[in-house]
Amino acid sequence: MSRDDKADQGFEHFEQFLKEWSRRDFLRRMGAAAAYTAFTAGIVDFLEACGGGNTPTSQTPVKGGKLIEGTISDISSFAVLNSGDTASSQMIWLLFDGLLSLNAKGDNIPMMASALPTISADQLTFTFKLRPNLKWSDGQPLTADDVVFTYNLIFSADTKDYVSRYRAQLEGFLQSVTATDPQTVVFKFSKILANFVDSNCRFGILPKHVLGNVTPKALNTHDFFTKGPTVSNGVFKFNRWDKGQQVVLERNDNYWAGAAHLDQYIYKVVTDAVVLAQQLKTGELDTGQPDASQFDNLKTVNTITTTSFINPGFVYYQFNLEPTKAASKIFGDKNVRKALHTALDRTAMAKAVYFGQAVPADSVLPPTTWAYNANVSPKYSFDKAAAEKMLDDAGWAKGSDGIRSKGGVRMSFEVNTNSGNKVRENLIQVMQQQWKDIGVDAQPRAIAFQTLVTQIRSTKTFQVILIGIANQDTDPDQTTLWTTKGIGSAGLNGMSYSNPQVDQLMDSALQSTDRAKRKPLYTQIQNILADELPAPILFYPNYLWGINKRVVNFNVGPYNTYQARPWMKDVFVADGK
Amino acid sequence: MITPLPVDAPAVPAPLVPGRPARGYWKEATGRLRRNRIGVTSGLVLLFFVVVAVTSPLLAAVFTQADPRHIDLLNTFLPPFSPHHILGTDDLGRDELTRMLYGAQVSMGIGFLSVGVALTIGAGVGLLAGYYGGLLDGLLMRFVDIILAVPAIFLFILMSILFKPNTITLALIIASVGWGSIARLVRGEVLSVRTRDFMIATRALGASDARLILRHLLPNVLHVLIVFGSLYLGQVVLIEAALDFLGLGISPATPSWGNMLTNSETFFFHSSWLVIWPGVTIFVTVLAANLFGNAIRDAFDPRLR
Amino acid sequence: MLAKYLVRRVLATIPVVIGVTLITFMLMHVTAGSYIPGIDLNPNLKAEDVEAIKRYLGLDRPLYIQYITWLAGVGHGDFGRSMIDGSLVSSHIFDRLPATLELTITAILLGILISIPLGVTGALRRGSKIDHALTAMSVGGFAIPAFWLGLLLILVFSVQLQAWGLPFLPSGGVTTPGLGGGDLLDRVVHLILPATVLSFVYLSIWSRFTRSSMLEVLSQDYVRTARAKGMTERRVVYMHALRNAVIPLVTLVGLELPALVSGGLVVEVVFSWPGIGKLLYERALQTDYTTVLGITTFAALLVVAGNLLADILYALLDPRIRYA
Repeated sequence: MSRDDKADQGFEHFEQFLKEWSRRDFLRRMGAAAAYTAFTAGIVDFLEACGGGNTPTSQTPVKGGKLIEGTISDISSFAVLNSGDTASSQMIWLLFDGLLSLNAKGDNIPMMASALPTISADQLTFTFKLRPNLKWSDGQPLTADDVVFTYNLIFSADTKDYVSRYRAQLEGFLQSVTATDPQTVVFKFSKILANFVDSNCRFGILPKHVLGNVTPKALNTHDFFTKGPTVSNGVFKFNRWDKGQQVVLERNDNYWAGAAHLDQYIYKVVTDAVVLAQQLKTGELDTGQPDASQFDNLKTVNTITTTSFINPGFVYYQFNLEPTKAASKIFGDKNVRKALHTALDRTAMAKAVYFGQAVPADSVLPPTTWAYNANVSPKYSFDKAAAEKMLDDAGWAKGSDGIRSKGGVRMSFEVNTNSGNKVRENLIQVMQQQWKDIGVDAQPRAIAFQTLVTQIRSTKTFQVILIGIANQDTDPDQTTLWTTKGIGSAGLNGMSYSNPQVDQLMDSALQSTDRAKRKPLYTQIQNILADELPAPILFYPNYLWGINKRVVNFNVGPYNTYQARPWMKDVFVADGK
Repeated sequence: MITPLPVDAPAVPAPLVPGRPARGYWKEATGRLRRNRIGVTSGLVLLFFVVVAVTSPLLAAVFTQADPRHIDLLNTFLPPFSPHHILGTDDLGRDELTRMLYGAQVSMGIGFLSVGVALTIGAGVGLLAGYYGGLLDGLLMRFVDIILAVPAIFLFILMSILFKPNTITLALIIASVGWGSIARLVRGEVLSVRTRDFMIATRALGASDARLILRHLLPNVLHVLIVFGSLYLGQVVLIEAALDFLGLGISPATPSWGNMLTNSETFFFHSSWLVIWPGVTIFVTVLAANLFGNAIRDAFDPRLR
Repeated sequence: MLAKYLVRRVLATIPVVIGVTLITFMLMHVTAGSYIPGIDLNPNLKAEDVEAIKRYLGLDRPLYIQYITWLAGVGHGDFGRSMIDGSLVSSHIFDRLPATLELTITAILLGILISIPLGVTGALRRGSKIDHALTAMSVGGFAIPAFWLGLLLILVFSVQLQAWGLPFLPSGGVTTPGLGGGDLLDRVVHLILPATVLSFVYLSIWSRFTRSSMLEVLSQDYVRTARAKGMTERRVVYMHALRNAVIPLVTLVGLELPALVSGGLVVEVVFSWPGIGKLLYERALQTDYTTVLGITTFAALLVVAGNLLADILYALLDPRIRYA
């Protein structure tokens, strides 16, 4: 049960991210030339240097005014415990605080809780102390009862009618949540949940005094979630939602960390990332994520600060390794996979397709997580001659048409990605060209996103799929991607890759909450996967931001772009408008 | 576009000749067409594009020796008049001229295929409905009503989502909405022609239905078909471009003028030529199609029949 | 005779309604038959739960019963639920319809207001340079893709003007965001660019039509009589000819009314205008078939109703039509 739950959780990340990758949406996530050169300098150093938006200043904050942020997709709801898209999540994070949050680098920081929890020796009991005098936006006190109410909604058997996508993460692990006093919450587990603190303590707390009397089933369609929350505990409170146009939030004067400087925050819907860039220029938007192709142009605009930083996810392509499928005849040989990856000039791809806003990747974990192995080995750089030799040595000889074959099998296959995503469609075309240069016939074909998902989870008639992964936090568990348990409808292991050693390592790494114990295991995993290459990682794309100079303290970073923004209260606009 | 009606046109009715429509009528019409300079020019322009579209691989082999899909990441955004790339290269280093040539094949191909299918089905339905009348007419026209009730663009979007179209299926999708208007138009013409004396006479002579429809009705509605076809050709090119803009048309790997235009939009500021080539070409093609259709309509003006 | 015609006309609408709803229903069944509204909300559904939901929604009943349920729903204004989040399609339509109507109606009015003077000028100065210029403009305008025109105008009137520090037109949205905006002037300013682009398409056709209609009217006997009687040219043109020339234009405009809901889709997308067209497009990208088909059904029925209304009006106004 437990591993399936992890699989579901991982898939939610995947699903959430994939859902976003429609034609226009994807274009927001592309990255910077600076990051690309920093790759050679050392990724982690780069992160330290440049992990956020404008640096905090000693300028005196100006009270008042509004901030308009651009978005490509409208939100779909305010379902705090069941949000499926990043836009909705972002609004929810501005309205509701959880026990903890993340800073730009991905470290856990206390929010409603006054400190990180104390963990019992057997790692089965977590105790949180809440800050004193917490209030809701309507003045009511926020107590441990609200926390208990919220978590019970998520995992308790009594509230099964209430749908939360986080249920799978806690069900079977969490035994009980109790309020031992108005300021203390105790979580008791039946099994060790290694990433409890990293992944499950940021959920927004819901007001028991407003929702406590509603049946779990009715909560699913309650106006609080579908029209707008009447009461919140975050930096802002809800004002209105004009569907398809904007969400308007206003300052919550009862916020625990002090009232925000801004009067309003507006989330404005625009057509795509190119239009977003235009509106940044005209000043119709104060902040937003412009398209990579416009980024260089935006740098020249003197009213805007541009910033870019690594997106804690990656773009990769997976081979179908299932023994019964024809594709495995080609890709089953590790050396063939290595050769194919070596034939790709990822530096040139990053420059041309991402306009330099992506970093060629070597590890299955992004550099933003504490478990990242900067010295992962082997690494792959572009070498066409070596690639050709590897294929020759593996017995794939070029035929008269220039395409290789071995034992009657022609090295010809299809590469799929989701349609409507211009960057990815370009990527598969480039891959076709570069593989053609070494005698491999790859046919690019973009297909509907739904079909891709079904292929990965069940049908598996694909040969190669190019897709992406996003990570909400630094939790390095990737059971759904690389283990035997991840194969099938609950996971993301579309390659059908099964390596007992990896299985065992991933499992062991979840047996403890101690990062020092887990890290060496993840280091090993990264090395094995880099050698086996069941799904080579292509890039860590960058987040790109354009921020109007009148906005101060807008400190976005890798882990608070679509999520909690603990610094939001300190943001102000220099002209107060 | 409605043409200005001559104020002092002589009201001379055409002689009613039994059997075939007056030969003289067609000769007159083509004569008028030939004298219309704009009509002739636009017709030639269209012909030019058709020829280019049909022979594009040959032209590409002769003039550019490049593959429209050949990606060259080191030579992206080359300006026009670069060595080997007369029209420059796009964001992936592909040669623009080659892509424009192959794009002609796709855009014109979709245009003509779509028009051809729509005209055939529409004319067929219109002829049958108009000729037989009664229940068949009622049924067919109801069916046309249904098709025409659904907003075209919604239908295109829906179908593009259902099955990601290639050149041929896209043409068929566009045609599936267009034939309705043609059917109505043809039916209207048929209704006005079938009561003419020559029709009754030929019937009395014992001509079969098929003969009447194909040899007598059809030639009389032909001019309507040509005019509509020409105008519709322009519309199809625009529709294809619009669908590409929405991301629902031809996938970018295969060049079409529409998707070349859309994909180059983002680079307008630093590589505007990428927008100009397909944009101007689309404009000229549609303009030529419109003007030609207009000229045909003038030439076959019913007032001078 | 009139009553008979009306009855026949209304009866003729019924098969169309059935046809449209049948087609959309079949498409829905084919594309979304196995989907349950809102399944994406809860990835943890077990097989028994899925079956229970299916039974609850009536998805296990025979097809014809499902169709009748669909038809009945449509009759009540229920156009189904979204496949993705279970929300009511009708509530989406209700939210977005005003924005679309605002855009298309303004565009039509703008089109009429501009085409009449253009057409009249062309007719009065027939053959002159102005006439040729206007002709060229409208013929050319008909050949430009709407989305391209929109993007071009945004570039010029929004981005470029702002770059030069001049007051500029907003490039998207209905109003200026925030609690401040929303007054009439703000809405009008936001409407300018998108309505202009949309009206451009109508302009080309209508101005040509007005021109030829005007020419035809000017050649009529009664105009010649009025002139012969010594009426000033001005009176002739503006009081008599114009009025009669414009009436056929009304017919043309009427033809556009059924497309009121769908015609602005591309413009809505270009200008982030939160209308029904943009909604359909967004949902289509998410392969939310049920919403797309629900909206399509709504629009199609609107077209049918519009046509019926138009035919009835003509029948009432023009006695010749009743015998069609």
